[in-house]
Amino acid sequence: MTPTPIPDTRAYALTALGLLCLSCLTLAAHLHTRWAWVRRAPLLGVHVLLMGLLIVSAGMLLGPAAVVLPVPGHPAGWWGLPAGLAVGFALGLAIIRTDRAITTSWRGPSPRPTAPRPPRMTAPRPAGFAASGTGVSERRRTGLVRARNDYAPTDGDLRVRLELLVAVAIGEELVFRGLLTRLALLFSNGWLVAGALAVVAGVFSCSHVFFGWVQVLAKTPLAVAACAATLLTGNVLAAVIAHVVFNVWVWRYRRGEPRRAPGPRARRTPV
Amino acid sequence: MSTLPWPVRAVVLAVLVVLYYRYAKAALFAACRRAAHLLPFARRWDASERGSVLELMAAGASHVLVVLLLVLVTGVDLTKLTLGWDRPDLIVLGAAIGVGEVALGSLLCRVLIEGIQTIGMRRAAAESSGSRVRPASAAGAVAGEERMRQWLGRSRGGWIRHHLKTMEVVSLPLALTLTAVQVGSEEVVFRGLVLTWLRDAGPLPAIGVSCLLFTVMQIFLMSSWRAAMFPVVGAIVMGLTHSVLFWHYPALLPLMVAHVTFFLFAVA
Repeated sequence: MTPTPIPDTRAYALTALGLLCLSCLTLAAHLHTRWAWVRRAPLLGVHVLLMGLLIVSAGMLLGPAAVVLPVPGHPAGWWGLPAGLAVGFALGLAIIRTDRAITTSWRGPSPRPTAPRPPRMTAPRPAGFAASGTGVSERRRTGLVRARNDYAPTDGDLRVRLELLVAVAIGEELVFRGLLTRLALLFSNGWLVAGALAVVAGVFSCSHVFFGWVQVLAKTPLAVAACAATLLTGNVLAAVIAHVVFNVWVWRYRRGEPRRAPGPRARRTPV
Repeated sequence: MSTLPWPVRAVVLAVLVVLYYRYAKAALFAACRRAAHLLPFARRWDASERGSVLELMAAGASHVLVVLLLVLVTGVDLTKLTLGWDRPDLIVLGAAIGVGEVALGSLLCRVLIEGIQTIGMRRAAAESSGSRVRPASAAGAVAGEERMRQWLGRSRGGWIRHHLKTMEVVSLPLALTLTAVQVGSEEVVFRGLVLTWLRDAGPLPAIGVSCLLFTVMQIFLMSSWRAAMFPVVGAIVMGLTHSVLFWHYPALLPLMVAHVTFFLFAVA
């Protein structure tokens, strides 16, 4: 840890920042399923807001440049910016091809039309006037009872505006390649740095698990390539541009898909 | 006993942890379930709810006794450990750490569940047809969601049940107090006492033993490994984070706040 006048506060703050950054999409999903007033906003909007708060906190804690230039004293200097621009576009196009190859290699034939979703066989809970004065009305419904780890994206969550997808790409790269890379580089031991960078890339891939296991595999090349580009150029521009190019492709892909009637919540193309 | 070599001390701790968390708690909970039928709140709470509240109360009270026993065995002076009342900044950051831990733990659980389900589907498809796997149908997604719900249903059993039931039926301040006594004692045992007693062994053995005992303890009294997955993954994330923080900055209260926040965010 970098020595400061109050080292324990800094260590606690960096730990909290690291944990919250690693789990920001899960936390957004938790908040989104927990409170109705949060549910009015799109999930990705909550995600972007959360990432914005984390980036502002990181700027206050580590300095404003730390998120954008995560490798301190990088030899590329300002030349890293044009290099990042060129590398970012090339990387984005390569990642689109890789992602599509992985996703299509796992995809089977188109699904047959399915029957409507079966009703859940659970006992009805009295509500409103029927519940007043009964034991049910006196019981608090708790988190695990509501099963809050079962979030699955709906069509509404994925059919989002281009601006939001671009904001997600920028925010995720600033958090994962900017902030978390900077935190990983704070370790003094080379093996610990390598391990921390691998954990960051792994957690970034795993955060796409809501879209299905195949998306975890499909997002691994993006995570590794964006991390490598950040370390090579010393800034997050390459990673940001590559992710933005990829998300624009996802947006075009989603826009080209035929709209379906409301039915079973199927897992869809990732963001 | 502090003159013993650290591997012997680790074995002593392991024996005490297994004796209390596996056997003494099982006997205590069985007695609580029997005693629940004698309580006079039958019209308001059913036997399961009365039993769960009693179990949590008994777990908290016995945990305090175990802390005293471990203080006698280890010779660690608890009064010398910094509690952290005078550091509100650390307490607030402790709450943020708790939220981060529960979110990261649930992400890792979700990854494990999805991975295990995918492997199971591929295996079932390979056995049934011997042909290529078709994982992406809408019906498959619905079935996957139902399996996820069933998995989450299993994780409400075991010792988690008495936290859930207590949170459901008693007033929030009382439920919070009971939970805080229980999880606060765990912080005192696994961070305050274990790490302090094994400090001379160095960071790797001490943190390793503390995390291992803390993780193994979660499995006891759970019905299956699927049910125990949430507490185990959460314990690994929390054990590592809290142990490293306590090793460098030995203040207990912020870690207790983090642990209570973890529980509240997961359960409340």
